[in-house]
Parts: sequence; structure tokens; C-alpha cells
Amino acid sequence: MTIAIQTRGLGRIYKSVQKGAGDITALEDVSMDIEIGEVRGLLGPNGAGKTTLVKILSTVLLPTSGTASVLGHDVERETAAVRPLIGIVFGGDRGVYWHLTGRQNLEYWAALYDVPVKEANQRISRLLERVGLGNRADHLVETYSRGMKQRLHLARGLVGGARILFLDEPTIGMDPLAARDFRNLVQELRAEGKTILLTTHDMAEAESVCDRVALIDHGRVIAVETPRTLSRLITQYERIDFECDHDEVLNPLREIPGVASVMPLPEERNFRIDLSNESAARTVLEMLIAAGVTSIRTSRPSLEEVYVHIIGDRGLKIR
Amino acid sequence: MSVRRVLQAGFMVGRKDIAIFWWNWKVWLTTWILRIVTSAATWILLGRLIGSEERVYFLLIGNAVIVGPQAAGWVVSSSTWDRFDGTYPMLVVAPTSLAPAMIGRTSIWLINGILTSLATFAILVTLFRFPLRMPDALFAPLIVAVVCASSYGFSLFIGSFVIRIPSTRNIVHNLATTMLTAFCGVSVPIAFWPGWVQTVTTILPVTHGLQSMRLLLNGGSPAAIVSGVLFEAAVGLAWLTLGILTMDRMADRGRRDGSIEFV
Repeated sequence: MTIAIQTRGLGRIYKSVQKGAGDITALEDVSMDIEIGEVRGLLGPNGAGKTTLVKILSTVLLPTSGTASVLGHDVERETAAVRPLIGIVFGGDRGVYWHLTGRQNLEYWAALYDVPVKEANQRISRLLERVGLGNRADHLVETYSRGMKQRLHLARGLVGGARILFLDEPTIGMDPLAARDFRNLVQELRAEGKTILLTTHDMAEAESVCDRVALIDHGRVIAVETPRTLSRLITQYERIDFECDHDEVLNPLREIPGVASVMPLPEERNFRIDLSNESAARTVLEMLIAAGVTSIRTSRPSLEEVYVHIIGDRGLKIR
Repeated sequence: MSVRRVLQAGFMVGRKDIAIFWWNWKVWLTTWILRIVTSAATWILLGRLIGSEERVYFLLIGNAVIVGPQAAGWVVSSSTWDRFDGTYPMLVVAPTSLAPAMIGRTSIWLINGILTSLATFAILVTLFRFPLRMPDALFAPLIVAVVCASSYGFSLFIGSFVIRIPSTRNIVHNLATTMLTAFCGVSVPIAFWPGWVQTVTTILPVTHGLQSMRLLLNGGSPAAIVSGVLFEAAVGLAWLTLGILTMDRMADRGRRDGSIEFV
């Protein structure tokens, strides 16, 4: 079996608690396959259905339509078989016992996952070292920083021997360094063959750790591609960014066949050329070099741009 | 799955819970017990004011016993703490049933109830020079333990509902302990209440155990004492069983209606 997670026509409708208000469709007709060892990102705005999908797959929530299975076990009918295989990690400060030490937290969950005591003790020490909490293992969690709590969260998700990890916005509120360390841990877990489903708002995070990304909105999956392929949804060809302190080169560039646009960037004296023809890149680069431009880079659209392009820029609005 | 290990692990969390309130036994004794004894003594002094020693002893036994179930009743509130800790969804999806983890964590309040009642008994008996029949009185701690355990089962049952609406935990806790205190023969004899209330008290904790305690300390027949204790234990066991079943049922309802939040 190569499929870790499979959903077919998965849906979830919440009954409204307010009189007269209609039911809320949180998830609609979601069909996807996630391979064993894959890191799948789930990207979407607030209320898009990301957490609902994770809740169903982790057996916290029952679907109202469709089916979902984890390593071949139906999440609705075979919950007892699914639960030992999965671990949940979510962002924020909660989900760990603050008045226990890091080690005691893991001992507690190891007992609930029936990990034999001797094995649990070894695994707990290993995990604490791995997440960088070895020297704080016997300190109360309430003395931990947010990043440390998050790392303990990850260790907690792994202490039961999970083969599939659900990470629900795990780096939310972390400082950039802690988030980078966390991503490194995720990449190590992928190297070990763990399957990971990661919901995030952080495009850089999705780009750096995900094999494939599913864009989800209004409860439906809009696209599932590699981050690189998704970027091609905006432009098929590379684009060229450069820094230049004389404007006279801009008009000749616009005349080159295959140049779609030459636009200023927010940074002063920085410009971007979008190409509509791959063969134009060589001519553009030659002209820039001839004009004495030395700061040149080629790039593809970031996932953030893809996200805004496909989902739309809604500001603070949620659905 | 080792239920005993899960109970022990849960108990570790419970021990830390109680340490938030009282850091050590000295703090427990000088704050919690002092408050409980003061409150109970006020009732007993009211009995003395009325001028009947018999009433004084009635109030003393009733109030010394009820403080145990009142303290054990904290189970109602503590059942919801995993919701506030954000650990409830992970308990629901853990391979083990919810009950051992919840019982493990909340059982510290049962121990607190037993110790509270025994300490209050010891202090009140000394303060009011209550004549203890020896060696019969040596069985009093056993009855206290059964009454507290029975009340724990009842509170766990209530707590299994309150998990779904954690904001009601303190109201429900107070209503439940008030009901036991008012109707189960603590300060007012059960016979005072209308017939239907008396009928209801037969399935509530405290009622039978407290009657046994009164019989024990007043030289009642051993058969009546044992039968009351067994009734008390049976009532408690029934509530505990219902509580365990309800706990998993409520988690299933949460999975259906989507009320189990991640954070």
C-alpha cells in the first residue's frame, strides 16, 4: 500500500444553532490521496475547511458525507485501528499540561498510547533531545517559551509511535528562528518516512517543507500540486528581477518580443520583467548586462502570490 | 491496554492540579480545613443555641460527613479542565477509553474528600467533646470513604455531562452539593421532606452512608449499619458506571456535532 490518507467525496455540514440560520457547509466533496512519506500542505483562508478536514481524518469529527481512510482504515467505522497510527499537533500554547514537566507530559501520553514503560522511557529521552528540550526535560512546562511548548507538542505527537502526523498550524506565533527549527524537524520526520498533513497560513513554510500543496477554499479543494507547479498557474515562464539606477534601459526592454511587462517593484530602483516566451530570457539578460546592470535574478512566483491569485485578496474578511 | 497505568498517569496530573490550590499539607490544613471546620462549627453552634445536645451531635455528624462529598464534588469542575488545557481532543482520539484518564486525573478529589471529612471529624469531635464509642468508632473512616467514593461516582456522572458545556461547571457543582446537603439528612432529617423527595434521596449518595454513620456512633445494630454501607456503595457504583458510559457517549456526541474544538 502506498496511500496513507484517502478521501472520497468527503463532506461536513454543521447544523446551525441559531434559529432561521442555514446549515454551514464546512467541507464539500473532498477527494484526495496522500502517499506514504509525503508532506502535504493544506493552504486556505480562515474558515476554508482545513481544520475540519484534519479533525475528520484524526477521528475528532465525523463526516456527514463521503469516506476517509488512514492507512486503509475507515476513520468512521475503524477508529480503534486508526487512532494508534496518528498523532495530532496544533499551534498555540495549549494542548500540553503546564503544571507538569516536559518529561511528565510525554510519560502521560506514552501511557495512553500503551507504549511499554521501558521503551517509553528511552523514546521520551530521545524525543526530548531531538526537539532540543533535553536540558529542560524536568522543568515545568509553564516555564517554557512558546517555541519550546510547540516542540514539546511535536514530541507529544510522536511519543505514541504515530506513522501519520497532523500538524494544524504548528508554527503559529513562533519567532522566525523557532519556526525554522520546527521546519527542520518536519523535514527530518519526512526523511524517516512519516506522512505529514500540515495546515498553515505561512507560504514560506508550505514552500519549504511540502511535497505537494492543496489549496482549499469554501470547503472545496481547488488545486493539488507541487509548490513549483502551482506557481506556473500564474505564469508559465520565468521572470527576471533586477536593480538599476537609470531608467533609459526600461523602454528598449519592453520592445523585446516575448517580454510581457516591465514593472517597478516596491523596493526603490528594483524592477520585474515578466516573460511570455522562454526564448526572450537570453535577449533580456544580454541587454541588461550590456546596460551595466549587475544585480539580476530569475525567479518563479512565490506560493504567496499563487495563493492571492487563486484564492483572492480578501483582506480581513472571512467566508 | 493497561488501565492501571493510565489511572496512575492520570493521577500524576491530578496531584499537580491540587498542588495549584494547596502547595503542601500545611497550607491545606491551615486554609482549606480551617475554612471547612469553621463553616461546620457554625451549624453545630446553632444547634447548641437551640439548646439540645442531641441536635448538636446530629449536626456534628452530618456536617463532618458532608464536607467529604462536597470536596469530592470538585470532580464536576475538574472533569472540564482538559477542555481548558486543550488536551480533551487528544484524549478523545487516544487509543485508550476516556474514562481511565479522567478517573485517574479526578480521583485526587476523592482522596481530598476523604481526608477533609476525617480531619473535620477529628477536629469537631475534639472541639465539641463528642463521646465516641470505642471500638465502633474505628469503623467511621471506612464509612466516610464509602460515602465519599459514592459521591465521587455521582459527581463523575454529572461531570461527564458538564464536559460538553464547561461554562456551567461551577453552577452545576454548587447545585449538586447543595442538593446533597439539603436533602440527604445532613442538617435536616430526611423525614422532614415530602415523600417524593425522600424517594429521590434513596438513589442519591450520602443518604444511606450517613444513616449508617449515625447508627454506628449511636450504638445501632451492626446489620443495619452494614446494610446502609452496602446500599451506599451500590448507589455509588451505579452512578460511577453511568458516568463512565456517559463520558464516552458525550465524546461520541461531540464528534457528531463538532463541539470538540482543537484549541
